[in-house]
Amino acid sequence: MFELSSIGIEMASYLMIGSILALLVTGLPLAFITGLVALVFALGWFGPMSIPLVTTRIYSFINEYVLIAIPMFVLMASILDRSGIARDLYNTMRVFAGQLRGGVAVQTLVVAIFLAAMSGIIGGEIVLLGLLALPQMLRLGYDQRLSIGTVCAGGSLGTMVPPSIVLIIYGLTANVSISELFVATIFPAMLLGSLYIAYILIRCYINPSMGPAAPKEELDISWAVKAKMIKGVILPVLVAIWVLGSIYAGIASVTEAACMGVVGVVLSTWIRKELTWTMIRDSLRQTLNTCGMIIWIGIGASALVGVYNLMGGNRFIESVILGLDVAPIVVILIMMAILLVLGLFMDWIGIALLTMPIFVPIIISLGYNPIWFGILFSMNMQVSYISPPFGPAAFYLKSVAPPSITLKEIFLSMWPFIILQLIALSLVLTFPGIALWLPGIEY
Amino acid sequence: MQEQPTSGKSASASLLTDPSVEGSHAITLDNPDYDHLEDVVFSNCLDRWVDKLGNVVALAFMVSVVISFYEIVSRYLFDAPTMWVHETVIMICALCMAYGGSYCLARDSHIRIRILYDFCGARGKRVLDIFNGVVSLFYCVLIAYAASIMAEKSLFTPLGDFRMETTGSAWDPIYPALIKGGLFLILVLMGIQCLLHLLKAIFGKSRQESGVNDV
Repeated sequence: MFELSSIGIEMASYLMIGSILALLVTGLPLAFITGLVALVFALGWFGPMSIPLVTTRIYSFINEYVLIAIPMFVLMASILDRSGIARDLYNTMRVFAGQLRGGVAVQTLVVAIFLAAMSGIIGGEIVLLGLLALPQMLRLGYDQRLSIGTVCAGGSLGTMVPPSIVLIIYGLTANVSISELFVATIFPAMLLGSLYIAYILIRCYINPSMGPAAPKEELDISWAVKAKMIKGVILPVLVAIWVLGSIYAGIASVTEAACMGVVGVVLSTWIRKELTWTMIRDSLRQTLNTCGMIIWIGIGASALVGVYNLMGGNRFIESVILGLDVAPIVVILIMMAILLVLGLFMDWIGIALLTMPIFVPIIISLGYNPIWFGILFSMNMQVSYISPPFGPAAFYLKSVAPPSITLKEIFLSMWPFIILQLIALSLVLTFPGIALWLPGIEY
Repeated sequence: MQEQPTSGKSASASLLTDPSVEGSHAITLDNPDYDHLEDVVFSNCLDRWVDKLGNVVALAFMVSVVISFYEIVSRYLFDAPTMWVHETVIMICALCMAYGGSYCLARDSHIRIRILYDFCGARGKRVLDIFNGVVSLFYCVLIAYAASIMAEKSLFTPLGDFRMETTGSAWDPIYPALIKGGLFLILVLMGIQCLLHLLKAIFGKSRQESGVNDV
């Protein structure tokens, strides 16, 4: 049999990356590519005896208790997205808009953060904001690009504010506490949100025509209507507080909290008289679809990383990076650059599962905290959601935006927000305390 | 097994070739169908069955929520933790999520980059479809073979006697055997799906550009 191992690990690494990229371009699912490359290299490098090693990794990947939090959080978000909770929340938050210039954009961001605290996936939030907030802003004569950017950047926060599927996957691969990750992400997410709000307010202050205040008559909502709307959203907000609170307080494991979240959201929709069989069925189908995507990329990627490490890949990359003989912070910067570039082409799940098993040991051996690195990773992925050519946020928004708004226009709207994300990323990079202070980790 | 529209939701055969029906399900606030669950054009009968079965399989997520909730209540409120919930929920979710792979394959909703595919003409699309069909089939066969070794070990002793592998916990259920066996069956199913997609790519019309999962 052909001895693949004779080409050496360096050549093999290039061959692996090359074949993954080449196969990606052909339109083959990412989940199949990673698994296929893993199996081919396992066979070529070690021979048929290595096959059980691959399957053992796959089995231990899917047979993991924490992983169950993912379908539960996805289900929670799916039910929430199908209820009228987001709409009521949006209307309730009108108080933020007021007579303020750019007020509706600020309102949109505040709602986005609230929704993010109940949902850990990106699609639903962007679509809901695209349906609720975008028409409202355009109608009031807001600058189109500012409005689009606000919706996409705000909607992407869903994967950074806990519960976040990105952080769950990171915690699983890096083998760190997910609860600590959830606590650590709060201030960085707030920082990002505040930067967005500050940006909107400054732009609208300089040029009032970008975000005119809402007409006075629209702001006059009777107290009866207000009370009714607040009644509708108070329960889901309490559910979110309860879910996150029980994780922070250490009462419940992440999986238990996720389960409580589903029960809470189902109860809320039942009390709101929105609970229907169709809604539950569609939410469950959505969950099956989303989890099928995530898990099979996970299966492929965990097989690939297993095989690569067995080939000596992790030692190779470690020796290359540590052999650079540069300051540790430069190593972090290089990793961030790699993640940013990968984020242009690949999905966060693939990136997390492929790079983190290799990066995190290096981070630890350099003396950095893996929780902090996880936050940097999730901030980095924020950029990947809205950056061209494949930023998923843009595609989700396109599916609900007026036809006159092209994909190009959407991507052109993103760049100020990408800069803000990079500013926030460099702040957390320079001051690890922003992330690590709240969970009380020494840095 | 005729290629008949089995429900109002799946597009009928005559609509298969009409691109104007794409995105016919508007995304509304009442039904934010952002992953286009309703817009799927199935390429064959098996895919439609996989999709229908998915409705049933997905219910198991609800089951695991309910029994997890039962466990939380009995542990925190009645101080009577159960032995069986933890492992059962892992087993249910593992198998469901594995089935999700077949479900996404049927709906063509696995994450993939379509930029070259969308750029190509009908001929190019066909070549890509055939290439992807061959590679996907190869992967499924390979990994199903790998899984069969794993499943065999968990279902038979080295001497060939039937016995099911257990978790080794105090309760000691046969879940590892179920998960490994189930994973094997799902991979066989995915292999057949890939084979049908390949045959369709070779002999049928070019696959419609359904779905919008560009990344």
